[in-house]
Amino acid sequence: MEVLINGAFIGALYGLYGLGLALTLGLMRQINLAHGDFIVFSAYLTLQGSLLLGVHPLMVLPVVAVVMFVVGFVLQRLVIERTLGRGEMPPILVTFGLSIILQNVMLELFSADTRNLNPGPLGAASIEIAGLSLGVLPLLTLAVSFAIFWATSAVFGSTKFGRAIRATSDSDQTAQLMGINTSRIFAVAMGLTLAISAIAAGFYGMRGNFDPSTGPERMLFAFEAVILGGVGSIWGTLAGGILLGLSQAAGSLINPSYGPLVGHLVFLVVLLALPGGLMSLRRRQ
Amino acid sequence: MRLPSINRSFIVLAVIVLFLILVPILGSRSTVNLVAEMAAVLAIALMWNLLAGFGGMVFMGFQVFVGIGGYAVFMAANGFQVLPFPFILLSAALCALTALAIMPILSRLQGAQFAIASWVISEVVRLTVFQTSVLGGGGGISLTAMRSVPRELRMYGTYGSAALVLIVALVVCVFLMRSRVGLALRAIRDNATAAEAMGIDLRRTQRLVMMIAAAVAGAGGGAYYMLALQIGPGTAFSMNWMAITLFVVILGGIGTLEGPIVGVVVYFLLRETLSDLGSVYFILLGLMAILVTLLFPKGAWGGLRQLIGQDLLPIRRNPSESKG
Repeated sequence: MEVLINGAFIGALYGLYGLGLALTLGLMRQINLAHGDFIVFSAYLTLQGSLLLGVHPLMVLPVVAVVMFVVGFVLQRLVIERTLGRGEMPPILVTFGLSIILQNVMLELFSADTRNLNPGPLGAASIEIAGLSLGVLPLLTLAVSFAIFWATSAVFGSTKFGRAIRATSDSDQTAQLMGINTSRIFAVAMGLTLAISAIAAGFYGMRGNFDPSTGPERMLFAFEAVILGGVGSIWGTLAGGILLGLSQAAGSLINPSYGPLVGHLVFLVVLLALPGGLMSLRRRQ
Repeated sequence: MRLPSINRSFIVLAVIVLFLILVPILGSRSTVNLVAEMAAVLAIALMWNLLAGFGGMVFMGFQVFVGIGGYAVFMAANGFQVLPFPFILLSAALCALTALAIMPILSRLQGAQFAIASWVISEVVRLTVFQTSVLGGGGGISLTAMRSVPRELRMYGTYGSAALVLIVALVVCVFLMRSRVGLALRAIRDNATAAEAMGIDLRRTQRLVMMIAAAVAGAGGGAYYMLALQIGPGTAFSMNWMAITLFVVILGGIGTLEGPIVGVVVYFLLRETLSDLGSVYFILLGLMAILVTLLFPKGAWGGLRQLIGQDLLPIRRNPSESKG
């Protein structure tokens, strides 16, 4: 039972990975294959920052998020923007190239050693709820994920910027005619994507180990969360992430090393049986 | 002088076959092994290009066929303790069946979703092999059947297998792309809805091409790992295969037949001269792939073609030819 609850908590983290990806997928109809490598890169930045300043990783996380926002904004303007409007292939090829570059830059800078972020006393702390002992860190992860999802959906639903994003997502050409600077919207969205991922990276690093090669797997988990939930649905991505986390936890109950495999299999089965994702169930009712 | 395009293809194919025959006669041992490796890599890249460049199916988990092809040869040859070379046919058959099995999942996906789903499928196979002790688990297996094979036979047999796979890959590309299937494939890539309206069976065409590409790439994987003599889930199903394939195809020129041939030469030149640089070498490869995609989408062959003024392996039929 506790394994499954923990799985759901990790799943919230997958949802957070996926949220950024869902933003760019819904908006630009393209995927950033280097998404996971940016998550790992953010984890390294957090590690370096907290070692350098001698403070808790959570203290540096907001700064890393801002840095990654700028990285995302610049990356979109300088590189990814040039691939748009030329079909589905160029963004895939360019971001795959980016993924290889990032992995090897991290290898050069930080070596292949496995690292993690020291959560301090937070790591072992737990509280008792309804007879179950729950870790404070997983609970905090869940709370932060919910807060970010809530903030994102609030921004999308009721601000001018959110309206501009939704309009651009529906038809970027029409949005452009209405006076929306779509290139700027794309760049801000990419910045937000990486900023959200940076927050997720902080919690990822405090829970588990990372090294320069663990990025692609993060990207797959993120994408699976988006598809499981249903493309175009913000809360669906969280639900998809939690389903993925539960599947992996259930798999690891059978055999500790089966976790990711069972998660992938559940993803493929859902893809086959329910192409619209979990949210298509709700719409049908 | 402009020859009818199919004759030009025959001449160029004949030159390539002649080259592949001359290498083991004139070349040193290390040259033969290098060309064998190039042939296997080129065959795999040509097949990925067939799917992505001509068919618009960006199959990011292509290493699944390389791995299955390699493991098929190792398991069969070790099991019977016989010469491994004929088993690349088994690799091809197994990979074609794998393609057939995964098409129901992939056929309704496009673009990014197709790319990631194919990647996930490859991960599922990698993780399964990793957990299967009969297949050597995480440690992999050696091609023990090769131990009793004399050194000369081992070298020429492996070279011959790889060269044969490459020739099949080239012939398949030229004839498939000149056939109705090739025409249908490109029509689907350019506009799936319009293609279907013209009476093209979308799923059947994509399934057929996927099976062919998987079969040849699987045979290429089988030949490659006969050369390596050692296979493991971490290397055989590694994303590195995707990186190499993409580099060869993009740098040479995606969506052309000549492109990957140019690309494989450039890739091996770079590898033989720069691979000592380690991760800096991979950073350079990644940078080049991005720059070529952004600035020279037609690749190195696009530039060469302007100099030569004609295709060497034409896949477009001239209207005048069909009249005569």
